[in-house]
Amino acid sequence: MMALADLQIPGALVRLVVALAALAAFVGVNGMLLVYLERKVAGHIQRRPGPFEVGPHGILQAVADALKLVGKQLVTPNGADWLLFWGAPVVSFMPVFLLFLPIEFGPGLYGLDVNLGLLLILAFAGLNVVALCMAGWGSNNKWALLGAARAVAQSVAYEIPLLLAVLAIAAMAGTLHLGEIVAKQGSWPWQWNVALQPVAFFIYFVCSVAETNRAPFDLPEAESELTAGFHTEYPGMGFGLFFLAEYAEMIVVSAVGATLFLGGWKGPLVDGVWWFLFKIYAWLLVMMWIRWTYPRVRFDQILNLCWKWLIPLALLNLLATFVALAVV
Amino acid sequence: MREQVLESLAGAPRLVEWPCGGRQVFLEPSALPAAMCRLKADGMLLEDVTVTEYAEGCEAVYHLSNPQTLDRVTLHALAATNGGGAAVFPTVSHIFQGADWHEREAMDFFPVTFTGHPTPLPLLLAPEMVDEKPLSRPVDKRSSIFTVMDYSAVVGAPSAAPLIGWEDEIPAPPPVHAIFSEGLPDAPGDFYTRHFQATGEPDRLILNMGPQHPSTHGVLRVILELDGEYIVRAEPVLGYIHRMHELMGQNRKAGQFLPNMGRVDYLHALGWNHALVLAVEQLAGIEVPERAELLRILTVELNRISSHLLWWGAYLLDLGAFTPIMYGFDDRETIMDLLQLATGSRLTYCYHRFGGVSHEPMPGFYEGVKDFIDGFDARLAMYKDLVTENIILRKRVEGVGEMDLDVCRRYGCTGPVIRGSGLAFDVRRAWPYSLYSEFDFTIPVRTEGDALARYLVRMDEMAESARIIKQVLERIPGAAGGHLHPKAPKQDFTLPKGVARGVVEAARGLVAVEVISDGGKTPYRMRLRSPCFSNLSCFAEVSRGTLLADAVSTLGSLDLVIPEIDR
Amino acid sequence: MTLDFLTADAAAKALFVLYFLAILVGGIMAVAAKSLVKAMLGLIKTLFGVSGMYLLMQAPFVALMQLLIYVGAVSVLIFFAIMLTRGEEEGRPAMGKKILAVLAAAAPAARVGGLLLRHAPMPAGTPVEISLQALGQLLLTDYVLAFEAISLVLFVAMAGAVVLGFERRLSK
Repeated sequence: MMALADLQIPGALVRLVVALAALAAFVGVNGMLLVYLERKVAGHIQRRPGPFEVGPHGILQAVADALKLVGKQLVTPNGADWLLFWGAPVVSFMPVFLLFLPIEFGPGLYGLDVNLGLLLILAFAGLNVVALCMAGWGSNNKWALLGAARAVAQSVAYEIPLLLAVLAIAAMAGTLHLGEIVAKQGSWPWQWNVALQPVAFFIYFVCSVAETNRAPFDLPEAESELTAGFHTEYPGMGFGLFFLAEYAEMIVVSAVGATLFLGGWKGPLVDGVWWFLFKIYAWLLVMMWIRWTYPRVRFDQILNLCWKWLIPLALLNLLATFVALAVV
Repeated sequence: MREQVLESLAGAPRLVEWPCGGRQVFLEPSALPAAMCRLKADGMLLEDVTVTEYAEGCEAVYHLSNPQTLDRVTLHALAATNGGGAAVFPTVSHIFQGADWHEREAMDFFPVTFTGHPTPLPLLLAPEMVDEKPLSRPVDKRSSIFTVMDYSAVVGAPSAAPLIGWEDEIPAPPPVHAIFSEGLPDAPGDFYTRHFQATGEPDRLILNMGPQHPSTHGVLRVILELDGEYIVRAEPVLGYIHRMHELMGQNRKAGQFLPNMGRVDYLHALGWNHALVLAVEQLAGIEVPERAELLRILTVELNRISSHLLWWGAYLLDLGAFTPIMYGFDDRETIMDLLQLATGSRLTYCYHRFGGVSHEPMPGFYEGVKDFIDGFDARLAMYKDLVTENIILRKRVEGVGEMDLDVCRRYGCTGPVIRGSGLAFDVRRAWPYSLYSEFDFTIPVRTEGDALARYLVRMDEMAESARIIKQVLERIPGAAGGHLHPKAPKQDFTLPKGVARGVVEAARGLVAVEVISDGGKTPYRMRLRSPCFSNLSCFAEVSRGTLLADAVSTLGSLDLVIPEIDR
Repeated sequence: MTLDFLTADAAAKALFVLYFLAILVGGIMAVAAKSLVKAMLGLIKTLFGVSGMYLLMQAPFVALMQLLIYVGAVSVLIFFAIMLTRGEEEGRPAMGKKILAVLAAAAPAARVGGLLLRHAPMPAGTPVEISLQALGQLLLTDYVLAFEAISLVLFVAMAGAVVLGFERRLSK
């Protein structure tokens, strides 16, 4: 007890612990909500009502799904590497909480006040692809391996234009602190970064879809080619964790996108956390809309798009940004 | 008689014109490769190989047609089964690559061998069943070929040498791989994987696509040899849903066999219905009243649209677009409701009867069809805007799975596949049956030969089918006769002796049902020619060197129905 | 990054031990693992430990860059290389080879360890976080030669990769 008292637990640590607990709840609730929303959106795009049986308008469908996943037997495939196989979903899911820490949800509403917030998110987001590699290799399944190979090539490629697009914003704001980036934007749409950096916004949006492995860039799990890609062999909650991590990452990329380009929690008339949530969900709905509309691109096409178009475009945009900053 | 025929054949191939269509050439088995070389040079396409076992031996019948000039030639070769051994034919699989699978299928079912066949593996039967020969009959149950066919016409018939003569050198078949003589090396994997591995380069990634894979649309299995994601070699493995429909056709009466047709191709059941009734009507000389013909065309074309709609949705699902299939099913549901009013069933229709159709449609059918067809053009336009014009889709299908006319001819590809490769070959126009010659419709053709061409051909075909339906609806109120000819025989009547072949254009291509009857209670032989079987046989060649994703796209663009391939 | 609580000596030491263990265990895993993928995981673990050490030294930018580049990109590309190469199944190495390997590994460790024991390093004082702006200034003024040399090396590597890729495609 003496040692603890000596430490004089600072406010930041308390804040961190509370924030992690709150974020766990946030990720869980929004994950469930997104699963339900995705199925409803898919349903309505496909001219059917979507889930309707569990609860009124099927709102408990996600709970039923989760119960089913939890109840399933956990089978380890023959010849699989136990450590890699079961480590992968955990590695995929764990860093997700860290990603939310530096995000400012509303005025003063953040988990960790950190100058390098943007960098923290980008650094830990890279862990997901390590998890995919572990899953692909550990499954002892050729489809999973092909899926992992695709995941690696895709996420390494798309990290570059993503970073370049984000860098343009960071250079403009002169900081990597997410709160300060929001502070430099105004409340009205023409005061947001998207008005100044439409190219970076476009690149970021494409990359955000690609980095979260969402259709039409869902090649690592392309079910009509690779059965289910890297998670072919995963039963029950093993798959469930991957699934939840995917949705959590979707929330992260849209939250970061809203922060960088759409003014964060600032909005017309009344600033506040509701604007932030509204922007996140608008972003997510657009991603869902795209998923349920377009066919999947081919693997060489997705890489060509990145290397031949997005990266040069992002470089030019960055150059233009620097020139503009130097001139102004 | 037999000696006379053989003596006549030993001299030269004989040409006989039979009323049931086309030139029939009778020749010795050894003359087959030369004849095939000539017919291939003439631009012929190998439709089918029908093997039948008679008391005298096994007869192999090669059905060829020229998709350009619409000539038809049928080669008959009879090989004796000496002392219970196998009848021996030379392989023609190196001339017409499509014959490869036909020959393997025949070797599964009959005691025949095709000498020089490069991969004499069982095709439809499980490797353990390879000695069963399910279609072979006990010696006392075999009929003489002379009771079935007017074989005596061969004697004194003119020589067919000008038709099939070949002066150039006949190519030799490729050498048979050593594993077929020395036996398989010990290796993990099942029978087909081991063969596949042994005939390829060592240490490549061998991948089994199927029999449970989302984009093989059923229990098709393709073994792939991959270099990265590029396909070095592909080999389809068939037979996972083989039900031996041809044997079922032999042990029940033709009328009792009708419901089987809906199970062969469950997506265009009425097309197969039509082929069987055409064959039987041809054989027994049964007439069909105009009204019944119109009802047949109406239902067949509706069924064709529903089949194409399902293909459309499923193909886009292969390409990763989840939504179009729901829109396709929306329309398809309407068609199924309508066909239910007409035929009484929703999927495995059995509407056609010998001499007509089973009954008049229920009230509300014609109005429903009219409503549906009137709105269908707008739906097609929406599909075009929504899907066909999409840049991602274009990039996934343009230049993918290119097949030129030569590939189609060598493998016997028909239907939208050959029409996507530049030939307007459609049985409805080529050798019009039913009342198709009286309707105004065009055959959509594309010359690119890629997946997009096949896609667009099918989309246009739906519009053409709708056009036919509109014309039928106009004609049907004033059509003569009822739904069944008053003199139509009972459905379980006994077929007269003879051979007949009903050829129709189904949604996937040329469907032919060949009925051979020796006058017994049940047909002596029932041969089903499936278009998917031939269309798929080219996959190994077309997919070579392409990406895995392109192979999926190619496979989908062939519009495969696995039960139809396996039969 | 405000890491006030880390100024407490005990917490710093505990974290140091944690990072140290991560580096050590990761290193052993990387060397001893039979499968290359597990070795790579060991490497990642080590990189995490090193990144933690940077944090302790008040260099969060370097720490995060370490994760972003080494864990997110380099290790993953190593994984790619592992998948593209066929793992040659080799028998257990001979005893003599093992001893040689241990000696080779121990030699630098002994040398450095000896030096450290003889000349104990002076405590450098509490590290101070350098702002990002200052870091950038330094990179483009005092260290501009090294900075540009690195970019040149990367450029050559990239061009080489493109050339190799084209050669492979042409030979097909």
